[in-house]
Formats: sequence, structure tokens, C-alpha cells
Amino acid sequence: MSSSLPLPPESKGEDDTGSVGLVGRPRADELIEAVRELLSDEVIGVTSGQLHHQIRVAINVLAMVERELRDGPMLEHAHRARLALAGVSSDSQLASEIRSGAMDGREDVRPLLLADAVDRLTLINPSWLES
Amino acid sequence: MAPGQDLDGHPRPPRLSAEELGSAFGDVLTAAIGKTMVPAGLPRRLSSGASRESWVFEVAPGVEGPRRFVVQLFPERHIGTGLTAMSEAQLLAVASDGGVPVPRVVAAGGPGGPPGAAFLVTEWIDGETLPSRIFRDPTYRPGLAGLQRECASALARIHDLPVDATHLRPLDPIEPYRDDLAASGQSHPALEWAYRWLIQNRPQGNPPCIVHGDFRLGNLMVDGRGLRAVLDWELAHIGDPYEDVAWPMVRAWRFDRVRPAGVFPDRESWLSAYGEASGLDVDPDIVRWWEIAGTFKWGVICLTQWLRHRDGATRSVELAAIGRRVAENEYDLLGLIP
Repeated sequence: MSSSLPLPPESKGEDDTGSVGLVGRPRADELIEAVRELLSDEVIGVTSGQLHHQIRVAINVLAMVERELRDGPMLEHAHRARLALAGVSSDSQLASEIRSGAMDGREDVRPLLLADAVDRLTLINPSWLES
Repeated sequence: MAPGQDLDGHPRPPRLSAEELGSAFGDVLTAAIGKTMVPAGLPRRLSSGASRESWVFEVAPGVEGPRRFVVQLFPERHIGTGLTAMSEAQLLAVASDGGVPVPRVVAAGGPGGPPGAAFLVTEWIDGETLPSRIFRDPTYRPGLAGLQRECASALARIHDLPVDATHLRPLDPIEPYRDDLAASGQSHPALEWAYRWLIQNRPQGNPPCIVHGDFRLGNLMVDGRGLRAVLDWELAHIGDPYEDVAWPMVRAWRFDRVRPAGVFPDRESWLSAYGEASGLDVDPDIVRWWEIAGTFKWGVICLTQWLRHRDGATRSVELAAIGRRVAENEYDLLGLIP
């Protein structure tokens, strides 16, 4: 394939020929990863007490954001599809219909909520799903 | 904010320098003990995420008795159930009389005193509260076998304290958190779903008693011999004993990754240990409702912690990150609800 041909849209940001998205490489998740590595390789070891704890939290937060940047759009898409299947357009509509009792007796609600919770934890804290 | 949380949202006590605090604590102890207590070095701030400032304070040799103390400074205002320094001092005295292992109160005072904030001074207790250290450091191993029985006994004694001897007030286990959820403006369908189940399946309560309100690993002082003291009484209220029985079993407080099998709170044996200590015929299905209520409550607290950061009351990456932990509780609720 000639390099002058436009890349398919899903390749944006993945290509190293220079034909990338607006900001290009490194991507946001790659920059976050670099900061996280700085914290875990250089910073946390020279801290103690409360600051040590806060840096550990910060490292976990950055790892979470990396997962979100990489896999979030795909899981968000699946989430939207589940809401649509249940006949609601948003989390806030689903929440208010559960609150009002409009969802009482609907057997599809629990599986939807569980699928959402699993996907959310996949991004936020995958280890919580282990046991 | 929920009554259980409102302490955290309040302005911090006036910040004095360590030198000023040391001198103020010396005056407080001198007045309380009736002998001149000279500070030995500066007080040291304890790393605690709570609203209160906690300090370790030592006095110079030359006086008999304990020389190391914990001083807690209270926030300026109190709303809801957050205990004042004076009512917490009274509660600790009642608990001590009832055979509950607690820190001994040395002095307590209102906001007009020398430290510039309401304060509570207790004797220092040696030991460890961090679950990861308690379960991994061999120092504490000999105490682990009996920990469950000791916790059950301490909790049963708390629930047996005379209800009228304190100024504690009743607190509903779910409604304040439902209000917080509604006030947050955030949409959490799984929490709404759990709340709906909770109100539709609410069990008949036990006779009201004094509830500690935060009885769990992290608030229990442990050493190589076992349980030394029950700490952090600021969320105490009048309620159902099962609230305290179920709270340490909420997943966030079980510390499953570090806790050895069979050690408190071991799901299989904790209920029978408490039943034995209290004489109650513990119904696991009803305790399950309370575990679900506790998981709902903790989920909402995670949400309100992040709001503290968002609204600027306390900027902290930790509080921001806790906001994401709502998801853990949603997942657990979906597994717990029958």
C-alpha cells in the first residue's frame, strides 16, 4: 500500500508514518504512562508517611486513567447499547425510573446494572473483580 | 451531607503551630492532672485522613504515670450525629465502665480552651491499627487467633451499655445516605436499585442500643496479645446492634487480600462469635440486609468524599480517587442482593 493513501480512521494515532490525529504521538495515555513510571520508579521510593501513601494513590489513579483512555470508548459504546436496549437514553433516566418504581418487576434491569458494574470496574479497579 | 459525614465537611480547627500546640497541650494536661506537665519536644501530627487533627504529645520525665498522649482537635461546628468532644469523653467513660477496651480519657474541653478548638486528650495506647501491618507483621501473629472472640466480646459489651447514659441520638441506617445520593446530583442506577430493595425488604429491628457506628479493622488497636482498644467513636449513635455486626463484613473493611483465613472478620464464624458473646440468636439473613445497607452506605460515602474534593472543601487526590470506588460497592451490591 502506498504511503500516500489516507489511513483508515481506526488507525489514527496508531501510525508512525507521521499521518496521525491532531496532536499525534505520544498519545495522552502514553504521556500518562510516562508520568506514572516517573512516580513509581523515581518518586515513591524517596517519600515516606502520608506523602508516600498519596503518591501510591496517584500511581493507581494514573493507571486507571490509562485504562480509561485506551478501553473507555469501546466500553462506553457497549454501555450506551445496553441502555438503548432497556429503552432508556441515559443513566439519569434509568436512575429516576428505578427510583420511581417504574422498573419494578423488570427482569432485564439487574443484568444491565451488573454488566455496567463489571465494565466500570474493568476500567477502575480490575482486581476487585477477581474474587 | 449525611450525619455520619458532616464532621468531615466542616472547617478545620484553627491551625496553630506545633510550638503553640505543645504549649497549649502542656497547659491542658497540667490543669487536668494537677501537676506541671512540661512538653518533651514538639507534638507530632498523626497521619489521619479524618476531619479531626490528631497529635501525639509527650511530656518530660519527672511525673508519675503515663507520659504520652493523643490529642484530638475538633472542627469548629457540629451538625448531625458527629460527637462533640464532651459527649465523646462521656461516651468513652461509659464504655470503659462497661468493660469495653477504650483509650482512657485524660481531659476534654470546648472550643474556648487553650488549643483554640474543642479537644479530647486520651492516653496513648501502643499497638497497630493498619490491617496490612497487623496481618503481615509477625509481631501481631500471636494475637490473631483470639481477635475474633475479643472483638465479639467488645462489641457485645458496647451494645449492652446503658442507652440513657449518653447524649447519643438515633440514626437511620439508610435514609441519610439516600438523601446524600439525591443531593449529589449524580446518577447511580445501581445505588438507586439497592436502595429500593433495602426499603422493600427492611427487617424488623432489634431493641435499640448504643451502636459504635464504625466498628471495623482500621479502628481497632491491636498488639501481639490481641485487641487493645476500640477507637474512633465519632459516629456512635443509637441504633440496631446488627449495624455494627454487619459493618466489618462489608468488603471494603474485610481486607481479604491480607487477612489470614479464620481471622476477624471471618464470615463463617464472626456471627456465631457475636451470638455467643451477646446471647442474641443471630439471624444471618437479617445481618445480610445490614451488610447490604452498609455497602450502600459506603458507596454513598465514597461519592460524598469526592464531592468534598470537587467542591473545594478539601482538595486531595485521595478523595478524588475514592469517588471512583462507588463502582466497587455497586458491583458488591449486585452480588449481595438476593
